[in-house]
Amino acid sequence: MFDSLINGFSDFVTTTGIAKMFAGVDGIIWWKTLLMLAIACVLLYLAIVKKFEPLLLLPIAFGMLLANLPFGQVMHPELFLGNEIDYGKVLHDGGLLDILYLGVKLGIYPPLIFLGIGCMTDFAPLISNPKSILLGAAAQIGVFITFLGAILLGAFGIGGFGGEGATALTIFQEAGSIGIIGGADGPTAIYVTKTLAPTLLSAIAVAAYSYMALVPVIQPPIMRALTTKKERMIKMETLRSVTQKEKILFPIIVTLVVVLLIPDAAPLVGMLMLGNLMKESGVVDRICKAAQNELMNIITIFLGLTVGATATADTFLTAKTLLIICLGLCAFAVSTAGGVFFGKIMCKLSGGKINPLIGSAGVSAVPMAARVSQKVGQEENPSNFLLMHAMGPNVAGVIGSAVAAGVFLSLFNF
Amino acid sequence: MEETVVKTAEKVNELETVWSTKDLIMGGLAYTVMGILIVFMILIIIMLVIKAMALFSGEKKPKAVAPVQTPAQPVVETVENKTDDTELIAVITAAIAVMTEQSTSDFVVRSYKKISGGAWNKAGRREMLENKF
Repeated sequence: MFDSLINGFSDFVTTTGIAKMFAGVDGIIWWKTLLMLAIACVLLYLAIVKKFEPLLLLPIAFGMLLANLPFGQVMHPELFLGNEIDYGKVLHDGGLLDILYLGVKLGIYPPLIFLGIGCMTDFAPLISNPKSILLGAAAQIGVFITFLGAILLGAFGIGGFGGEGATALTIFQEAGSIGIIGGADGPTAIYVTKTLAPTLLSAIAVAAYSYMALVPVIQPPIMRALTTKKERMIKMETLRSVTQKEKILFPIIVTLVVVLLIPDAAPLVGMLMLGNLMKESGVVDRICKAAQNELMNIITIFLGLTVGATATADTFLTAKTLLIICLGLCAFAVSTAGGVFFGKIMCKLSGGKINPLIGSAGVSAVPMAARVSQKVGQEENPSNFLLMHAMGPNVAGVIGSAVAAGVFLSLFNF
Repeated sequence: MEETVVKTAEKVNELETVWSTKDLIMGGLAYTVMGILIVFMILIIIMLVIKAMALFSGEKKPKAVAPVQTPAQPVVETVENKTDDTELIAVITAAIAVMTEQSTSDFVVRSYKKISGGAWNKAGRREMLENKF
C-alpha cells in the first residue's frame, strides 16, 4: 500500500511545473524561465507601484507570467508560427489565451480600441486650426528615421536583425514594426507588428506602452533644448468655434480621403472615425458610451493579456529586445524633435503666432503629449494656455501614425 | 488586372532575396523618404479638405463685433503677494478673456486685488436661485 502511495506522490512531483522547469521544457533552460518570470514581476511592479500605463502594462505583465509558467497550457505560441496558420488546430488544441490571441492575430482588437478612442476624441481643435495637422505629420518623422536606423543595423548585421541569410523583406518588416513605436500609439504598433513581425510583438508592445507612460519624462528636455525662452512664451490666438455640421462631416471626409488613398489603413482609421461620428452625431449616445467604456475595457484586458503571453523566453530573451527598447526611445525622441522643429518652422512662417511647443504633441499619446506642451509652456508664462492648441496636433498624430502604419503595411505585407 | 498581379509577384521576389549592405542602405533610404512624403501628402490633403469644408459649413465670422476696446481693467492695483498665485492668475485671465471676448494673448494680468464686499457673492447666489426655478 505504501509503495503505491509513494509512487503516486513521486508521479505528482514530476508533473509539477517546478520539476518540469528544471528538466527543461521545450529546450528552454530553467534559468531563462526564471528570468522571464522575474521580468514579468518587474513589469507588474512598474504597473502597480510606478503606475506606468497600468491599464495595459498590468495585463501584459500577467500574461507574460502565465505564459512562461511551464506546462500552464494557456498559450501555445508555436501554433501561430509560420506563414500558414492552421486555425482549426488553434481551435482544437488551443488554451484560453490562444483563443483570445486570435483577436490580435486577426487584427480585431486594435481597431476596436480605436473605435473607443474615436468616441472619446474631440477633433474640434484640429478642425478650427487645420494647419496643426502638419505637426501631426512631422512627428511621424521619428517613425521613419528609426525604420531607417533599424535597416542600417540590419545591413551591418548588428543585433541579430535579419541575421545570416535574412531577406530584405524580413529586415524591412522588422524595421517598420520597430519604427512605429515612435508613433506613440500602442494599438497601431500592435496592429503593424502582428502582421509584419509577430515574433517581436511582445517586445514592441512593452516598449511602446512603457515609453507612452514616460512621455512626461522624455519630452520636456528635448522641447526645452530645441526652443528659445521667447518662443516658449508665445501666446496663441484663441481658436474659432467649430460648428456641429463640421464636426459631423469631418469623420466622414477623413475616412473617404484616407481609405481611398491607403486602403491598408482602413481598419484603424475607419473605426476611429466611426467612433467619432457616433460621438458627434449625438443620435447614438448609448452605443457610443458602450464603445468607449465596456467594449474598450473588455478589449483592453484581452489585448494586454495575450500580447504579454507572446513573450516567451526564446522570442523575448534576445539581443533584439534590448535593441528594440533602445530604438524605441530614439523613435520617441526623434518624433518629439521632429514635431518641435516643424513647429519652429511654422512659428517663423506665421510671424511668431505659433508656439513651437505644440509640435511635440504631434506624437499621438492622447492627451498626455498635449498636457506636456501645456505644462512646459506654462512654466515660462503662467498665463499661457497651450492645451487646446496642442490638442490639434495631438489628435492629428493619431491619424498620422495610423497613416504611417498603413504605409508600412501596404509596402511590406503581401 | 493580370499585369498588376505579375508586378506584385515581381516585387515580392525582389524583396525576398538577400540584399547586399549597399542595396539595403539605399533601399532603406528610398523607403524612408517615400514614407515621410506619403504621410505628409495625405495629411496635407486632409488639411485642404478641412479648409474647404470650413468655407461651406463653417461659422460665419461675426466681424462687426471684433474690435472691442479694452477698457481699463477694473482690477489693476498692485498688491505685494508672495504666495504662488499662478493658478489664480490663470483663472482670472481665462475669465476676462471669456467676458471681453478677447484672446488671452491680447492682455496680461499684471496684478489683482481682492475686494471685500459681497457684490459678486450676491450676484452668484441670485443667479443660482434663478436657475433653480
